[in-house]
Amino acid sequence: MPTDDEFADAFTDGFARALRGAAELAPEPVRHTLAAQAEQRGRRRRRRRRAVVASALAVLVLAGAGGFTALGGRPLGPTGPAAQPDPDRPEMSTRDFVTLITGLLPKGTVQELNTDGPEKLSGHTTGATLLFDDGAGASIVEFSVERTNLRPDAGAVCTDGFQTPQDACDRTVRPDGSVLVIDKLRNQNAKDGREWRVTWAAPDGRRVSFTEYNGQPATANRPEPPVADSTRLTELVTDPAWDRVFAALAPVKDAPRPGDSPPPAPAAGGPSNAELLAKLVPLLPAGAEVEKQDPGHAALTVTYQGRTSMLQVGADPASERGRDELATMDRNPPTPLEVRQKGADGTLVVTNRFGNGKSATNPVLHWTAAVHYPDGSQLWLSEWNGENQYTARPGDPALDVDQLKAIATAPAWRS
Amino acid sequence: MDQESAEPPWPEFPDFVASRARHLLRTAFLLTGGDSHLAEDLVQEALGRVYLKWRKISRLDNPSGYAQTVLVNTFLSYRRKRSASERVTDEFPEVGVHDPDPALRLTLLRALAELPAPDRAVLVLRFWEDRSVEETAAALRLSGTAVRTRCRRALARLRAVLGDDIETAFGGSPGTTGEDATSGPNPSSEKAVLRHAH
Repeated sequence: MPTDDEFADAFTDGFARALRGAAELAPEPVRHTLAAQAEQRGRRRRRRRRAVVASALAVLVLAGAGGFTALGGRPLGPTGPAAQPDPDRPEMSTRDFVTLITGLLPKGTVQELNTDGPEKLSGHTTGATLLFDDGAGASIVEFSVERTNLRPDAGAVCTDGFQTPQDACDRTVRPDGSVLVIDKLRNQNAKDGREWRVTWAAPDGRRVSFTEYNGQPATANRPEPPVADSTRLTELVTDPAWDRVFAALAPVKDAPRPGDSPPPAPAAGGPSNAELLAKLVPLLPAGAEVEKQDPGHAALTVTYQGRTSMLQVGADPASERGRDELATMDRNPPTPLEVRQKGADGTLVVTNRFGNGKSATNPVLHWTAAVHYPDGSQLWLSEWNGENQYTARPGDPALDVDQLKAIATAPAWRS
Repeated sequence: MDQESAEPPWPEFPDFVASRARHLLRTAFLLTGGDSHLAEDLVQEALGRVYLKWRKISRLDNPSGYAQTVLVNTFLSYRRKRSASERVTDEFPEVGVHDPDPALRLTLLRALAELPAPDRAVLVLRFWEDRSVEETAAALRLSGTAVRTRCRRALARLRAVLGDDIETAFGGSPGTTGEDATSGPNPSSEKAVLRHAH
């Protein structure tokens, strides 16, 4: 019986790598737009389906008002039921909205990329994506205006520079309690690509976001995005003109009130990162040196026998999901360098080595060991050669997978 | 009775989109042979379908895999409405300093675009998604034999178009398994996105 290996040769290896290279040419997703438009499309499909049913029944229910106006977006945070149309709320057309944001941009030409919205603003959020050209290179810019249930400390945050390449992030608490974040990110896939995200979040849950690229997201055509000055960026998201947009958006039921004290932090579901690191360090092989610890990411830099790598630890408490994962593990074939070992008590220990993709092995970039306990709890270790989560270099790591496995299976984790 | 008649909050849906959008868009980009406009349309259409059933899909073991399958089937059922003039541009972005042959990417996309859509889907699932023959067959509702046949035929066509270029660009690295520490980093590895398996 033929197996998958029948296709494995030098050409298919090169083809797979070329395919990954070609995929990098894809445009970067404009996430807010994708989510909002997916919802709109989903609802349109639902309406079409209902329309077919209604036609079949010869019931004229499609002409009623109200059921077909809810095309507007939803707040991005947790929220209650969808907003109801309010006859007292001022209306604003999509055309007026685009005119407003165009007027806030510096001098240049604007092309709408996203006009697939309702004729009038509705719901809790709205936004638009434009191609803006100030004469120095057309760039994609995106506006988002939302009523949310988020307090400013959650509504405006810097991206984690450990996970995403970042040039800088400035976070400012303003006298009125609102928070302004100017987050300057680098595209890890497109050379010279920049993505700047500017967010203003008010104590009552209002939020304005402006995202700009230095060209198309996957194709830089200028050193910096078109609006580069911090003062100008601040003015852009705090302009009083947004009041008119917010007035047309439906309020959110559980919006925060200015002056409210923050809600208590949710109870931790397992050991803290600091506790994990405190357990990890004594389990390292004799002679291993820990250069620095990063409790925020449960990671540390370890040097052993002249090799330096980053080591991250994670633990998940017992859960139904964990038990399901363990029970269904056999359905997924192992990746090429994966080794699974089941103990008499049902515990499964998995070590793995893989590259840029779970089946890629040339070169190997990641070394992992995980223990899946019968109660669904898990402990995992991940090692790579780099300084952050987006850098992974080939080469022998500080600890091999057997050493990772020895650490992961140490009884100390269960005490 | 329409279970979806109430407007559910589903606050996790935007988070799901945020986490999967990049990969979905890249898959769609390859499926369309490099048509970024159509790729975005397909992703939105697929996500719209996912949104409709999100209550059920979110409880699956692998919502991401389900969304990928929806995307591929959306592609296969899609009737192209755009004109040929809107295909991938010849303007080729600079994407990496270690890129062995930037032009190869464009050639590859064009070659993909000339394959029959089901053949393209097979190659993308097998060599981009890393799915097995059986998984590919299940996603495309084909038999394993049909997947192998299409895969073999499509690879033969691509080999004819790209064979020398691939060999030159990647040095004919042997096989798909085993660690080869001497080959040095490939451009993708330099820009690796961590996918910790745990």
